[in-house]
Amino acid sequence: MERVGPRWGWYWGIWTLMGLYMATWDLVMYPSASIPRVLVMNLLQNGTWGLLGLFLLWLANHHPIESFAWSQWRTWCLHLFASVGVAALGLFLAYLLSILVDSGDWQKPLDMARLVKGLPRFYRAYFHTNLLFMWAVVAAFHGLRIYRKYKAREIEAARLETRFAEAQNLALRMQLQPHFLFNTLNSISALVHTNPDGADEMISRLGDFLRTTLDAPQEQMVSLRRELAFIQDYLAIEQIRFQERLRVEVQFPAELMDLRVPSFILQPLVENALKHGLANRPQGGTLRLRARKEPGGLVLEIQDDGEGFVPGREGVGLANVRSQLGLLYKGRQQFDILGSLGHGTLVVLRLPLDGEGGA
Amino acid sequence: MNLRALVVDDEMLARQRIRHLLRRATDIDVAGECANGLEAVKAIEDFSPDLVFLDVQMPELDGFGVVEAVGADRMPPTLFVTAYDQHALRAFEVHALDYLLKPFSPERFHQALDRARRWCLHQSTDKGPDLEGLLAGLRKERP
Repeated sequence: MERVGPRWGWYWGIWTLMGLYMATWDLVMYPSASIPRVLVMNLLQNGTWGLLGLFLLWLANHHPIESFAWSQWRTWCLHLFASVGVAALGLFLAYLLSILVDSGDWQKPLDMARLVKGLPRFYRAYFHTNLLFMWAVVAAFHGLRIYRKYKAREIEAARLETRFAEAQNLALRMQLQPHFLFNTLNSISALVHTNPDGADEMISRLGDFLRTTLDAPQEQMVSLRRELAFIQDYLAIEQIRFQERLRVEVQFPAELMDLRVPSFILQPLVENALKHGLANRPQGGTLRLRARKEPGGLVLEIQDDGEGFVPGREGVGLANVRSQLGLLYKGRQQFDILGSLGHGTLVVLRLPLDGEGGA
Repeated sequence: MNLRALVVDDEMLARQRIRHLLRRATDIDVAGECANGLEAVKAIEDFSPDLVFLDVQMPELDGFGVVEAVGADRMPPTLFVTAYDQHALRAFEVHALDYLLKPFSPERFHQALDRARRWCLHQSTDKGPDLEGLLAGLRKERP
């Protein structure tokens, strides 16, 4: 169980305010009373109650009320009796103080007769108020405790969410590796014999690509420029593999290049477009990448003219993109896959550009 | 008589690599190349090659689709060539002779060719490819 740390400034400040408040109450009831006396008396009394309240705090810290459930009845009773006891003791001490202050002489023996005579009236007048004070102490403790617990949980949830987003991002970059890598290596081993320059080119492109995926800092957001450069490394390799079957058109306006987008968000979508839109068609196809700015944010489009998206056939790549976007933008993003069989697929990504997660 | 081989892969470079490696095998001729499954089915039915190098991931009809379309019984001895190792078990179920994982070394390729030669020589007496041995080899390749 976490301890509720002290906020002693507030604690004593509130007791002091209560003392001043009670003093005004006394002055209203006894307009003829001396103001200094009333002030001193009330501050002393409230100070005493504050000290006793510490016991209630200590008790609450060791036996906090966890819920309104019946199983907690023992704890409720404990705090009820403790607060009644503390209120009673507090009033007794307060009365004692008032007699001492009135007599003004600390050496003089206590006027026992006055004490016994006045005490019941004092209790009748102030006990209920005092009990409320003590309850307020216990309630404030629990209020603060619940608040801090809530805060801690919120922080923990945010931390988990960040970690999850990072894991998702890692999944995005790892998901693409194996087959792409093996096929590319196979292409290179063909090129070394027939076209050494081509092999050279492909190895350096692959190097760039691997540097970005394996070596990149674990940033969640990168500039559109960087994301595009990464995609172009990837596409350059695919273009050597698929040759004239793969045609690529990129329309990314220069003024959008500094906008921030989630890293590795485009590659799975491009890979999907190649897989469904191109690899399955002997005659190949055209891949179009477009970016534009709308009032709502940045719009990215990935379009192929392949076999068309079949709903319900979403693979790991798309699922990863979806959850990554959800984590980063919390529903403010839009992710649509439009297409019909035989007429290609258009993936539209709308990313907000304001606030956290955005650019 | 030389063995006639058919090379099926949608990637030109992948076909080129096999063709290149086959140059060293003087007893094997490349009788044809196909860039997708449908072409492959047609070629197999047209001139029934002695040996097929078959990619798994292809447009129109994948490698297993080719075997299905031709019929496992009438399918010529087949060497699967792919970057996906998870298809290996299924490949042997359709009586693949071997399963080459891209990228493969020339040694591994010629080992597969030896297997194919033995198979073609002893086709009448042999019980079939040594599945256990092949799978064990595959496991060694990809720990």
